Amino acid sequence: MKNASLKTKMIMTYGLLALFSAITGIGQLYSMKQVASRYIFITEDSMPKSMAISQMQGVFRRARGYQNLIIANGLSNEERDLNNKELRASMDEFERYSKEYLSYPLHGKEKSDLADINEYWINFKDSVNETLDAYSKHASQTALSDIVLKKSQVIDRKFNQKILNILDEENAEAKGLIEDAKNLVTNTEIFIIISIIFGSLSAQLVGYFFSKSLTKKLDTVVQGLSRSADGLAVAAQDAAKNGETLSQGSTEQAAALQETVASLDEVSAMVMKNADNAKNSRGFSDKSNESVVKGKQVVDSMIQAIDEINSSNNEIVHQMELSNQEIESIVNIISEIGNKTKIINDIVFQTKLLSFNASVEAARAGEHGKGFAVVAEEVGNLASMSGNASREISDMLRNSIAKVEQTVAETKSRVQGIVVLGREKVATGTETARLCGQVFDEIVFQVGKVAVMVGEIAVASSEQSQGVEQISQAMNQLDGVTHQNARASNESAISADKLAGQAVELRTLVKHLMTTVRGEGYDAGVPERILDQRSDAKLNKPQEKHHLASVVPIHQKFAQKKEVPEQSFREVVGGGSVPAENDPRFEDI
Amino acid sequence: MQENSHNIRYLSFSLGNEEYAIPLLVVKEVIAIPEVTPIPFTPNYFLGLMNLRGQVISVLDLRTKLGIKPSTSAENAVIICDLDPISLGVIVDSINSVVSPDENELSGRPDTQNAKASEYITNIYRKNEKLILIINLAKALSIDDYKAISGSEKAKEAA
Repeated sequence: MKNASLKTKMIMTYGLLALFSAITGIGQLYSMKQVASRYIFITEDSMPKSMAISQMQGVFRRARGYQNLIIANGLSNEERDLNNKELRASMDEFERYSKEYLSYPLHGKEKSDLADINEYWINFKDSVNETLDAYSKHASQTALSDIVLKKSQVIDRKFNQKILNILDEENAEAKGLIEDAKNLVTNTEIFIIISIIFGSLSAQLVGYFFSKSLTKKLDTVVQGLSRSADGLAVAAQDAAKNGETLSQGSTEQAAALQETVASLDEVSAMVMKNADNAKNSRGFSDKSNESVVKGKQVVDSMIQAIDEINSSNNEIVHQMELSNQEIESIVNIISEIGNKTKIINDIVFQTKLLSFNASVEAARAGEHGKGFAVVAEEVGNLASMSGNASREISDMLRNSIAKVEQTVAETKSRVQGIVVLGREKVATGTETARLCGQVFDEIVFQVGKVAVMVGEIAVASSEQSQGVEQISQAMNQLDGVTHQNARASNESAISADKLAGQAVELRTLVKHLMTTVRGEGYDAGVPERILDQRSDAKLNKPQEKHHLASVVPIHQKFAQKKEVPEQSFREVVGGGSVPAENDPRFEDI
Repeated sequence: MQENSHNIRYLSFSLGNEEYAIPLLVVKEVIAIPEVTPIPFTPNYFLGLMNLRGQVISVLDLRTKLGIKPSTSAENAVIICDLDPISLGVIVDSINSVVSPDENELSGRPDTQNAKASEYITNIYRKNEKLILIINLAKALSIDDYKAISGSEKAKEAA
């Protein structure tokens, strides 16, 4: 029940109330119907019957009168015929009323009563006929009066008695019905009063609690709405501000676009310059290719020259070896001389020994050997001298051999060193030349590549040019878009303004709702600041209008730019032609 | 032996760097290095035996004996000495000359504490700047040497 919707709740609450009223209504209706049935019965049954009976009684009385007139004297025949006619007519009338009575539903004693009446009537009719017969037979006055007065009077009495009885019965029945109806009415009144009291009380209670809870909830909702309206007003203000910012942004964007267009033109000029440079580079690369080919030829001839140097070196080594061999043969000769000197030394040694032995012998000879001793000494001296000489010779030989060998060795080592060095150098030179050749080859390859790349650069430059063209178009589109943006921002500012208005309207509605919910006495408590903001927004409006006014000229500027552009851009970029080589802008790059 | 007479002749020879001299009369003859037959179980300075014209003579290395490092050269020679009972071959580095020093050129034996060192040096001859040691070979070759020599002599006799 708590989670049920308000609609369901209300439907159920009022359904309960309606059910209650329906039940009470049905009860009342039933009572009414009861009363009505009584009433209908009285009006449609008892009353017509009573009427009919009364009529019957009247007609009967009239018929009795006419019967009595039959026997009256002094009547003309015409009057008598009229009287008889009247009698017949009243008798017919009676039968008509009798039939009428029979047409009503009969119940209880009525049937028997009616049978009695019919019996009396038939009797009466018989007496009338008897009277009429008697009259026509011109019976005596007394006989006639006897019939009429005696017979009819008895019938008349019985008849009247019966009629009165019937009327009494009818009245009693009607009275009973009326009493019944009165009781019913009283009961219904009590029931209605109770229903009124209970219904009003319960409706009051339900209404109180339901309205209390509903008001509480509505109050919360209304407060929420109030806050929302507040927020909405703030948001509207923000939106207005944003619209303003967006408008400014659009303006800046437009300016930036203009700058971009200028830059783009510069880029275009650069691209053209690039293409030119690529062409020039192509020429340079061709030239350098030629130079490299020449250089490669030079390197080849250098390699040949180095090879020749190498063979010359080998020749030198060969010559060196030959001269060394010759020197060695000289050394051999010197060695041989040395050997011979050794023999001399040997002889000197032997001679010396001999001289010593001679001295010994001379010493042993004493005085006689003195002269011989001198000779021996002289021989020894000579031997020593020749030994010294021989030693000197051998020293000289040794020295010369040593020197020759040393010289040969030194020369050999030096020459070898030089040759090795030369070979190394030659090898290095050859290697260097070979590397040089390789480098030249690589350079040729690279120059070829450079040429290809330069070609690619040229192609790329043209593509770039196309790209720049497309960018230009895109810029134009962007321009349009910026225009649209400015318009959209304007519109959004207006919308924000409208939104602020609607927020105030909402606030008013909320206030109205609060009044509805809480009554007139309650102050809706609309925060004054919202109204202030509203008024602020109103104050801001002229400013916004000013911004809009500042935006609009930008569009106009674009429009002007589109009209003027060629001229102004040519001034900036240099008429779309390639800038000169000494253009200061290139030096920066 | 006329050791003290004037102008006695000496044969000077070299052992290592030093120069020595012995009286010329002790010398029998000088020869080049001959074939030497080594004898086992003899002192290291005893080089062996040589055949000198049919006569077996012991050969000693005076350098080894005197503790001087021996060297081999073409001038090495053997001095055959006539030490009174026996003849000996003494190997020297080289034979230099026959000298006959004056009286004033001779000095007495040096005064050293080592008796053995001073024993075999008889005189010192100052030849110009150089000093030549005049030695007594018999003393320079000590008793053991004689024994060795006599042993060799005995062996010779036995043969």
